[in-house]
Amino acid sequence: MKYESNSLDTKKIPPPSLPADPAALESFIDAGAALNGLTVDPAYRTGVRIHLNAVTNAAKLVLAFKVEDEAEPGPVFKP
Amino acid sequence: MNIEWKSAAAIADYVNTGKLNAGEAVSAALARIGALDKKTNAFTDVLAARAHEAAAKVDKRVARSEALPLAGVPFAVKNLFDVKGIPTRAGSKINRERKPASADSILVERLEEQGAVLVGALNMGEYAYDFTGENVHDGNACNPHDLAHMTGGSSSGSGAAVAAGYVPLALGSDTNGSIRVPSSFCGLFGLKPTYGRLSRARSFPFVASLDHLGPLARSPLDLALSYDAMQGPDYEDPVCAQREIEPTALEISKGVKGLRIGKLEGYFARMGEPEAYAATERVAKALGVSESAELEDAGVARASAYLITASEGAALHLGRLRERAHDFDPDVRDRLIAGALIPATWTIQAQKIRRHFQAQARKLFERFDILLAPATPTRAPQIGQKTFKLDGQEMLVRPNIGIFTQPISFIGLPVVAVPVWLDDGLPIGVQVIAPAWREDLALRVAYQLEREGVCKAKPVNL
Repeated sequence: MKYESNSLDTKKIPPPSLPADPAALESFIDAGAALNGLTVDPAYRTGVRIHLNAVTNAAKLVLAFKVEDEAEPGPVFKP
Repeated sequence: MNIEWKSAAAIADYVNTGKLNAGEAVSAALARIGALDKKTNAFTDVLAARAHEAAAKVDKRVARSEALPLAGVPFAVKNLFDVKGIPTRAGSKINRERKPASADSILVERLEEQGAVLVGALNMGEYAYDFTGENVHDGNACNPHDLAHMTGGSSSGSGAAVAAGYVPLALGSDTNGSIRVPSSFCGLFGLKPTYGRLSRARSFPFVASLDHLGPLARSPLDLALSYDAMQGPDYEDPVCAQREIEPTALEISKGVKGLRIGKLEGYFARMGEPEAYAATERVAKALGVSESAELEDAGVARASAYLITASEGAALHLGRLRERAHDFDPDVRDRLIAGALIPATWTIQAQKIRRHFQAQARKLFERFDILLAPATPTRAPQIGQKTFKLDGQEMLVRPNIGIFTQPISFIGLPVVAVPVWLDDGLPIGVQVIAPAWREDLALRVAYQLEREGVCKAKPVNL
């Protein structure tokens, strides 16, 4: 399997528009928490939002990155 | 004999040659812990009775002329390692309700086989999701070099216990930097081995894809001695490599002549405070390094590690988050809840990037044997500090202390963190990074740096 140098190329793959607008992020917390059976206590909400924001910022970089279809995901990993 | 600043190698030598017995070594360690640990809060469990019993057995083995590389060496482990008879709390409130562990962690067993004596379990950030050393349940571990400052985490007690002179050796875990960060902040040598090199059997996990275990010590030789004792295949950990033991201690003094060493630029030359670069430059200069190297896509690698950590960590704790969210450390809980919301497509993409980044590193290691990079972007922040400025940008402390360590552990490369003292202030570490399975090279470089006085662990008055 061959891997070519693959720098972040925003021309080929536009970065996703994450995080979504604040209202969408709030809805996402509600829906995602419900699907996971989690209760987000109002006291936790600000912290969860801050960290979800950090996660979506990381995801922007990750999702904009082009990887080969054949790239084996890490869990089969022999350094 | 006064042993608080003696190395593990020296203690073992004294015990093997009859100048000291294991019982005395252990008593000295326990006495110092008893007298001073209220200041540093490194230990959560001091196991005096067990330690005395084990030391007596070591003395009997030495009397039978068994040569034990770690004879009588007191050591302690982060409290996510199973220790027979106590619950494996992993820094949490919830886990201390678990049944006491029925057996020791495999690494504890292997160290004790070589004559080392476990004296206790150590404080840590809750469930290892931490770079600070703060813990709401057990109290913060304090940096022995300045008690108002962080030890770094999550192997906080491991850093504090070795830097305070309680033990010459401690074990920690490193998922994103949790051995290298406390080594940097506490002025120690720390080894994060290759992913899969040391068995994780009977330790509490965090992120299966990225979890490593390893030692912290005040000398590279002690890292090598303990690492050699802990190596070897183990079917109990499916990730543990089926590789035979490749000893490092015997060749640690071989020097660095002929090694191609590069200093990482690009991503690793941004975001840090000037002291992070001054430390790296000092190490590079001492090694005669003039060539710089670029590990492409390190920023994306770090972002990928961030997602995998949040997602796998959340998956591990989902049940506890549902049932007992209020019993978590709030800083950890909110990050885990956010992690539970990550779509699987994001983390699978991150895992594919891991493969790509591994290829990038392999390519770079065709030109270099060793790469240098800062271990942390700053020296130890103050305990309680929530934000810091990196490259002029206000950032949260807790998730961002590991910006330089995360890309490296993401692809499992072995690293020795080495301590640099730029002035009379706190220390800061540099990562000596080797290709997979070449811990020996990183240890040789660390040893050379110590021999030349460029990197060392300093005693402290508590």
